[in-house]
Amino acid sequence: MSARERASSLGALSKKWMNRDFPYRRRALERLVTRSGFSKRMAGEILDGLFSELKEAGLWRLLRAELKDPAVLDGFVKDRPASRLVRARGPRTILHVFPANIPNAAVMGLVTGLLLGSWNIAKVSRRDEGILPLYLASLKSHDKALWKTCLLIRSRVEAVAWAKKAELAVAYGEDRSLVEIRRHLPAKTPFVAYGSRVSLALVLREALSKKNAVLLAKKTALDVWRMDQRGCLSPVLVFAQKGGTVSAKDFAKLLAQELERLEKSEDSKPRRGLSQSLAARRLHDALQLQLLKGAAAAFWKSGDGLWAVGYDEKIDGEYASGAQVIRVKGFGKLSELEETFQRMSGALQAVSLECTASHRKKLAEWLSVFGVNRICRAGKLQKPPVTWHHDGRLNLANWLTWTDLER
Amino acid sequence: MHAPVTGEVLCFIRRHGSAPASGSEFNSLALRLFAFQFEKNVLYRRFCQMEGVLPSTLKDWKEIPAMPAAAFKELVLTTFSSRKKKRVFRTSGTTFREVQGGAAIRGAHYYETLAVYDASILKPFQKQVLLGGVFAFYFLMPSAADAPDSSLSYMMDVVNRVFARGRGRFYVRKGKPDFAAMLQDLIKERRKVLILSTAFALKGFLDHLEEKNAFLKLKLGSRLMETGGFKGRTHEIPKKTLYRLCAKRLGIPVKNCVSEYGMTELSSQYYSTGGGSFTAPAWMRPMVIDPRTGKECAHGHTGLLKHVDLANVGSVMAVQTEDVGRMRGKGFEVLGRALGSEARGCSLTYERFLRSSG
Repeated sequence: MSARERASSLGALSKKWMNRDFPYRRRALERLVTRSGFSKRMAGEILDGLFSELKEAGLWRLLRAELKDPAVLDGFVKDRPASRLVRARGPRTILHVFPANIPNAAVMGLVTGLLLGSWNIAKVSRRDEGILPLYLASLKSHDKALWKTCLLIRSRVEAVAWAKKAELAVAYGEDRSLVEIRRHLPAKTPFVAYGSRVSLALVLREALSKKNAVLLAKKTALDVWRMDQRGCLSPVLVFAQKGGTVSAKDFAKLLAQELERLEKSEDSKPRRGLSQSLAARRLHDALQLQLLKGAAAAFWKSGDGLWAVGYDEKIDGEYASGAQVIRVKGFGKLSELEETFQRMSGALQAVSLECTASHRKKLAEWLSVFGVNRICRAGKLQKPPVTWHHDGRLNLANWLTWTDLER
Repeated sequence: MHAPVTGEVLCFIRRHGSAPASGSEFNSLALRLFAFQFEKNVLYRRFCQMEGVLPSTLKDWKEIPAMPAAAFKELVLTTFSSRKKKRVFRTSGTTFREVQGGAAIRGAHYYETLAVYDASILKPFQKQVLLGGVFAFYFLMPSAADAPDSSLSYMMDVVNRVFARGRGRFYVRKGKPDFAAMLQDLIKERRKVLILSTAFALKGFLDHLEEKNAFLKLKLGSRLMETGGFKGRTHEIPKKTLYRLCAKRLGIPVKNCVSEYGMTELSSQYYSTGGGSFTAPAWMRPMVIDPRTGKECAHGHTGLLKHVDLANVGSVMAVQTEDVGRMRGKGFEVLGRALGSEARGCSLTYERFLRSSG
């Protein structure tokens, strides 16, 4: 099967997943709600966001973006700058170790392996195997030949056994898990590790006009809400510059209002545990203490307590975030953020940046110094294009083995 | 010259050292103390105003606003001028929240007088730990001379003075435990023994016994009081396991093992025996709060522990902790801290980031 044929088949399957009546989609939605704890609306958006990018055109775009000529996967093609012919082959077997609770990463990873024509061993988490088993079941009825190149495993022992045989291992997880997986791989087996990361929103004062602020708050709220603030693209900190027509503190309030609005419009609620309530409580307490000390601070909690937004102007120091808690930090000059960004470099993922067009490129340069690998507009954080350099790397080009044919 | 309410609390503690107090007695004194603290403690007054609570509107001690324990790290919470302080106790600075981001931030509890503090120690200790027995006291913790700002060491000093005539032995000096000396002394000991230790040091001592392959048979009736948990240290073990090890290595049965729950931010202590629930003295009331609503949880439901301690006369009587627990029987049990127990996906919280990079 050629790369084009594989992209075409996988793209057609994605189209089916976009259909509201597709039985596998319906079951996936149910699973995302009951097992993974997302709300119904969140689950729908997760599937739409994922499969709209995995249509044939998107997959072809990914192949072209990374390989220039995707025919390189099927035979030798010209590499003009190097005056040679090149051929690329995917690994014979890829061991994928997928995380609990992040459904889209698993499907995206598997599809990438399938595009390359590899055998894919997919280890899912026992705690929450996500939607991958359903995706594979849908693949079986859609394209049996492709389905036959996949094997779903659940046990650690099996994963360790496959680690010895795989030509590539791709894993997602916390540093501790990644180190553990690497330990089981032969020395020369390439290992692609996607770790936990932080994303941010950065709003400059010029974007905080009366006209713009409400819309911006709405978009930022969507970025927070779409993955229930669990993904590496979920903003956990919002840096808002003081001195705009709408103050940074008022912007935080608008954000809290928008999250409350989203909460009210939900037909099901995302699941919350004690640690999330604790995080909100801790934020509330911390900000109240700042207020007692005379510092600028504020706290808002949505009606059902699903979301908490805190505002303060302490750029460094102790503060909790994540766990459905959003910190808005008011700042004066960009230079005030440097120390914090420096500390976060290596863990930074994406930044939604709102400023004037003339500032945008210069700020992007500055952010890239701290290892930010994606800069987008507010509202787009959770909708990365399939061509995004995830964790700042090529997605599939690095997985290949290349053969050069010189003259 | 101390406030009249200090005398009232002292009388209450003396009167109810062994006998329980009625709900109305407790409520009435709690409300008077709240009014006093509201008037004299400026920061607490501001805090109560933020919460919309005034003494004139309050009818029930349960509604007294609880200051987060973290406030003791950031604010000086006193009903008196801090220049008049007689003693300051500081938190150990070992929990994760205190050390994140670099230097330790230690909470401080200021005392104008220790009369109430001393009184609150004695009766519950006698009733729950000693049970009328006579013991040789072995302290596996520093003495007050070695750790002058530790409330636990101060408490042990009082215990040593009153119940051991100052003859108890301390086996932690300059921050280092001397397990070998304690083992040698215990081998020679012929009297009933009371070992008083932090849980962490006790585990260290039990490991030392294992290393030496030592099994002690302490005199029948010997007892143990452990406290302090593991303060976020990595090698935490369940209390039941700790007690089983004590039975195996020291010969102290589980029913003779007492756990003390106290904190620098409080002036009184809770006790539990044999891994049961913690019970309060008459001048203390525990509550379990739902962190989402801020309201009291139903009996048996899990939430955050809040304590109302009348012995906290010179600071704030109601303290909100981050300890997770639930009411059980007539007392409560501590379940530890629940941070990060749910699946989180690939988002790295800033807090976790600090922890990993710290």
